[in-house]
Amino acid sequence: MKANGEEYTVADGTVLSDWLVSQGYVLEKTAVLLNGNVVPRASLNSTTISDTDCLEIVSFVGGG
Amino acid sequence: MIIVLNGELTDVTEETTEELRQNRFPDADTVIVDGEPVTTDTGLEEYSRVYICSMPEGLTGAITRRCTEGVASALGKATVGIAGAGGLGSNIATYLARSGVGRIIIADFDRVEPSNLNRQNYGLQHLGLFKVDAISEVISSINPNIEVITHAVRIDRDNVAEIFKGCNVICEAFDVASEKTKLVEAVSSLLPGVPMVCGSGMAGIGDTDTMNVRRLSDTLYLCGDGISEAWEEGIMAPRVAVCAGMMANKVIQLISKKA
Repeated sequence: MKANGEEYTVADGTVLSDWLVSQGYVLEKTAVLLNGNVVPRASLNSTTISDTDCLEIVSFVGGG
Repeated sequence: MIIVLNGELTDVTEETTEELRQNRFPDADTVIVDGEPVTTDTGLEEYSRVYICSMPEGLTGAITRRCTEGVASALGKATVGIAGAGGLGSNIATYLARSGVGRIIIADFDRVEPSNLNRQNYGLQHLGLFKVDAISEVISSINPNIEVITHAVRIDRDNVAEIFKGCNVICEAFDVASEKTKLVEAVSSLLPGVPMVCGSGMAGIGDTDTMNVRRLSDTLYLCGDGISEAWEEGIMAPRVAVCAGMMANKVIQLISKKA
């Protein structure tokens, strides 16, 4: 699986929110695109990822 | 009487703006007195500052004369939404106004206060005003032909689609990380297909070349260094302007289909 251009190995059926938290992301400040589409926060814990998926993840910081 | 006419102290016998215009600049389309465009015949006063624009292409044409080839027309027809009128939003709005975007929709619940002046494009004359009203004044002092629609409200999921209906591009110009995230989610689900340009990481005085523009998808772009947090590092005009400039430029690319 690709996340932000880097390769990761994930077991099929891994829950997206679990994987993000395991990588240190704080969900309320994180926007995730799965194969080009933004995943709504409410769906993060019901979305599964597999080795063929591509994620773009933004961890927002404050300021602006 | 002595007036300042197009920058020069001039002794004139005319008493009104129309008399001046007809006698000296009959083809002029815009008369500005003491910083405000006037649309009716106006009496002159001693030392009035009068600027008469006699450019053949009119005021907006003159302002966009230096626009990149083929871009002015697309920008003039475009509507850009800006969520937030603070460090990012006030500067993005200004850059887009200078670039000739035809319509700007801007929303922010906040008022201008002194601490804003270190990075937000406001002046002393705006203190206490709603930011959206202040930025509307700033824009009209650059080009009064740009339509500015203001919403002095907090944006949320319930109003975002209505506020930004009709936008060709939306800028995320909030300052709280969790609010930035919520806006991305809301726009992508409620206004699908409308490109968004976001900002994250512009605090401090670190090198500006750590800031970049990242394409996340055809409808989502992120500008900034992604790391510098305002509350930890302080937030200063130059890096905020770099991020705002990146965002405004990406908006222009998207509108003129050169993204």
